[in-house]
Amino acid sequence: MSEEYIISLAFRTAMISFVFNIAVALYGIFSRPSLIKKLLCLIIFTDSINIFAIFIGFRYIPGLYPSPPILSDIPTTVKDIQTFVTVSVDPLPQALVLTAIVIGLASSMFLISLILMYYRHYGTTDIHVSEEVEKYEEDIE
Amino acid sequence: MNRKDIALGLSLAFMVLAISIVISIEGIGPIIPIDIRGLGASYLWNSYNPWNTTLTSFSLNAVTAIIWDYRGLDTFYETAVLFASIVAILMVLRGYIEVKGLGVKGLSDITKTATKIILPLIVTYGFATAVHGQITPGGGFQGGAIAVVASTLIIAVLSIEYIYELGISSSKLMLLRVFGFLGIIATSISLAIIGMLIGVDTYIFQNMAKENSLSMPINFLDTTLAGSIFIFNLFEFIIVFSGLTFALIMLTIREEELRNIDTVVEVYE
Repeated sequence: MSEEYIISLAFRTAMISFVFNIAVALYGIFSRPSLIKKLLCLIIFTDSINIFAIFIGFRYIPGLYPSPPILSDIPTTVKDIQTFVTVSVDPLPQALVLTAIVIGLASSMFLISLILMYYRHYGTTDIHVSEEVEKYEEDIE
Repeated sequence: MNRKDIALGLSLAFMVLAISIVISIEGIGPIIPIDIRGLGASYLWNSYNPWNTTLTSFSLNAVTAIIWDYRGLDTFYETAVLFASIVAILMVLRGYIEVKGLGVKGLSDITKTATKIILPLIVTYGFATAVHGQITPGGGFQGGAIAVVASTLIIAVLSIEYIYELGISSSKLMLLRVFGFLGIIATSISLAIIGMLIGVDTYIFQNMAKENSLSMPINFLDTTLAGSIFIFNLFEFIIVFSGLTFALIMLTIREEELRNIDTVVEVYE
């Protein structure tokens, strides 16, 4: 087996494991009653997709190691930039993932504050218990 | 185990199987390509390229160049989303009052002293990561997120009272945040306004000179500044640090501070 085939196999296994991770996180979001567990699963889901996106930007260079997209030679010559383009990984997925991380952080911060208020109102983070409490309150009225 | 759980498990298993088959036959493209995609290659060519002055941004870090120069409007709206989420937290927890002197002591003296030694180092490291975003790995958001570790440590180890003693309150942090946001807006439209005044065609979010002669500062002494990227990173550091510290203070509220939250709701209704 060639080196390229082994590396390709390893990367496919890693990507499939991310898909499996996404499925487990989706199960948690749909099926767990606790809001905290739903939030944790949502964060795992976001991070799995982010790593998946970064993997798409990775590259395989025979005989060389891929380098991060940062030029390290000052003063720069044309040859430096040519080498940089040959060995560097794709910077676009990394930039998009950074944006996605910030927006995920903003939305999860808001969700945490909502869950906090939910807990203060019902005394629990379980969605089924709160439905029962609402029915009970309606019965009293 | 009811019927809903079985259906959910089966459909998720089917999803994993389907996507795995697509990945293993390279249905979404080559898994690890040898050649880079054309768009990524053009960003790598132009992010620091003194021979192509109309397309370059003079930033050695290609990711930062994409974030604040080539896709600057994206990042502006991303910052706006972060701002909006803080406003939403403020709306959910309205009626919140900071109460000082509740007698919260924090952890032991040894932990407190060690933390006080580490705190300035963490903030300095975060600031250095932010202002060197154009030459080394890093940037405004990453630096701000590192510096927020300091305020998290203060809240966890020295208690939230120490933050109030330092003179940091949520209203001051909100002001700092608005200042950073206005700074980003001012930086993005400054060249457009100057160009309008002296009669040169310029663009919003312009960094380097295009068909005109106006450009942000390229170098400071012998270090590349990458023009507006440095200024944006500085303001983004302020925004992320103040915003996340604000959110931390809001989310570590005590019962006494939430006393009149119900009465405030009644007043508004």
